[in-house]
Amino acid sequence: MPPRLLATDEVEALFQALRRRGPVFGPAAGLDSGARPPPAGRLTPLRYAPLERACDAVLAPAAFGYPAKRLWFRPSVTLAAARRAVPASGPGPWEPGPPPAGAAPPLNPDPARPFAVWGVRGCDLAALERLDAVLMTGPVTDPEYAARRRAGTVVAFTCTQAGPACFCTATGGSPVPAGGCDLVVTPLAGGPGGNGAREYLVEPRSARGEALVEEVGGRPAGRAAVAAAAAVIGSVRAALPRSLNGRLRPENAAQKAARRLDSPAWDELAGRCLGCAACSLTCPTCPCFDVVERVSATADAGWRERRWTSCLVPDFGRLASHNARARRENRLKHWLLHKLAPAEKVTGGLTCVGCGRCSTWCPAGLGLRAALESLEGEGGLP
Amino acid sequence: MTGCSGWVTPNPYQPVACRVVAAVPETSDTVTLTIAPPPATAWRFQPGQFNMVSLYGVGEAPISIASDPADPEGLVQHTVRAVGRLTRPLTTLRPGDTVWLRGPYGRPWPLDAWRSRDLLLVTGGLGLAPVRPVVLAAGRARHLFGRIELLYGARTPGDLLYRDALQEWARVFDMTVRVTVDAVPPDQVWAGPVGVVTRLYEAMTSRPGAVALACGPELMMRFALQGLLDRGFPASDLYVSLERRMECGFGHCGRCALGPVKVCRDGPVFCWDELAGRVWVEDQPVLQAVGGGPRGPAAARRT
Repeated sequence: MPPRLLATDEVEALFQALRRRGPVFGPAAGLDSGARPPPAGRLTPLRYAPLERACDAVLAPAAFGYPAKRLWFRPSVTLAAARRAVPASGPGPWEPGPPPAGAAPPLNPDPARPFAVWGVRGCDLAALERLDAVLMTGPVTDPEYAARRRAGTVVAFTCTQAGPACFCTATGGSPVPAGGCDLVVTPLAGGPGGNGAREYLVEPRSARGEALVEEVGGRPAGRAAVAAAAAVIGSVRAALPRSLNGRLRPENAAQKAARRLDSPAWDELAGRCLGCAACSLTCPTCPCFDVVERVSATADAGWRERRWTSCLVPDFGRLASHNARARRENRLKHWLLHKLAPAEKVTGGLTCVGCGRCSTWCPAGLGLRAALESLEGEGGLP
Repeated sequence: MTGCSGWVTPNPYQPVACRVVAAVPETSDTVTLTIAPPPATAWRFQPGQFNMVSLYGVGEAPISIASDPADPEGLVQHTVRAVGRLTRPLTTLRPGDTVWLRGPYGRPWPLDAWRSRDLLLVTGGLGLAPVRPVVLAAGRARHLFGRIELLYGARTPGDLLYRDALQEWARVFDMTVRVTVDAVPPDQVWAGPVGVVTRLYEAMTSRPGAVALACGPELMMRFALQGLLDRGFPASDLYVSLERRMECGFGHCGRCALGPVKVCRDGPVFCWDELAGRVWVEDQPVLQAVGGGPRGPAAARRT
């Protein structure tokens, strides 16, 4: 289907068409219910929350908010459970099955329930492709993640503004969302972030996307509209960096960084890094997790929970005999080499998608590009 | 599983409740568990693969399978040393107790590719456990292989695994078994050689042309590999089995990543050719020191 041109009210109709199918999540300002507001002047990340209207989505650069990955790859998932009788004589053997009522371990909301994600950026979409490479491409597919991937409709938005931390183009990405979504929306001229646009170029990328566009109508996009979209994209592209740092390009970044593993700059970086894992928790591509053993307070229910973790956490490399990466500089090296290599050798380019969240949310002012800068400062990357 | 709303089936994380049918102590801290998976689950595995072994309320860990893949009763054996939160209670299990398994996972020893070759098995400590299925499978199909030589090193005579079987393997499977211990405490008796396992290289009859595998503590594997390379064994004929922390067992959790390689899925068995010169970052780059270190120009090319 060729691109369509939608007016603001038609975009709203598109949003409502999605809402009839299930909740629609989009980047939103504000806090979880019950959370205290931050101190004045403190920045809080935008978070994907269920929205009621298209105009409630805050279409800021991706780095201003949490990644969309949590809608598919959820921070905490119950994997398996067992129960047992606990008479006064002592607990009986564990048996597979749902925990007894009252033990109340968290069960997962139905992963096959349809939902939509509105306002996904090109970097987050590319990150989803990297998560797919880990969780859906190997010998085992994660059923929970795969079910959510099937259930989720993705409406991606072309960036109309380069954020201060953005560097997608330096990782082989683009401000224009690539495949792996249902619709790509490009706001044509308007206010920052596209919220002020009057017209939107909408390109279906799947049968589901085509059906949605059919439903709301719009008109075929003329040559002028396509040219206007290209102009928007061109201006964003011009504002984005072309290389990660100096001569570091996506094709050679991993090799060059690997040659600097003995650099003293790592000690300096490790001295500044707090090991808090904020970079991993805001990274749209980080797929690593722990499996945590849980037991109910009455000891009659046990379950296993998958929880996000980070290779920057000291325990990450712990074995029965020793900790493979007790040293923080080695955890940083491990992290950087992974971000600079393709995910599972499946995706092109780097694992890093250049969203800039690690540098935006690092309390120590580090991040992927800052790490590369330190390495380069010390004699320059070869 | 009906009733467990929210779970997608088949669930790769769902372990199977299995009955322990025997628990035989090997040493003061090591036990071989014989486990009967339910008849409905034909536990088909290949030598070198591992199971995720767990106890509810305690935890889960990858443990290599130590038994014959062609066991007529479909039993599975794990040799477990009490070192951590999970392995300590595992070694106290009694017949009739329940243990939870999921698997098997991982890339096995490529026995089919080794047909008609001589085999040299260099093992240290608990590293004999993942090699035992190789001995049993190759021993059963003895005519398919050339000479088989097993070198085994333990800390003390009291730390030897499968003590009775070692002599039997030599006899029944027509293989050479050489055993050494690092030290003999005053209260133990030992008539064999004393020294690290690579000291056995002086006496061994295996020559380049044989396939060699090394399995044991990483420091032991480092010297085992280096010794074989020095003796002219090509890297493409050397194999190792690695151990790392794993949460999932099939390449998702990221805990066992060595650079782009995941030990659970791409290993635990590797041909040394695949690892030599690769860059991965750990505090003690023990294996990376084999063959002159990982950080040369060759290393950067292989990233």
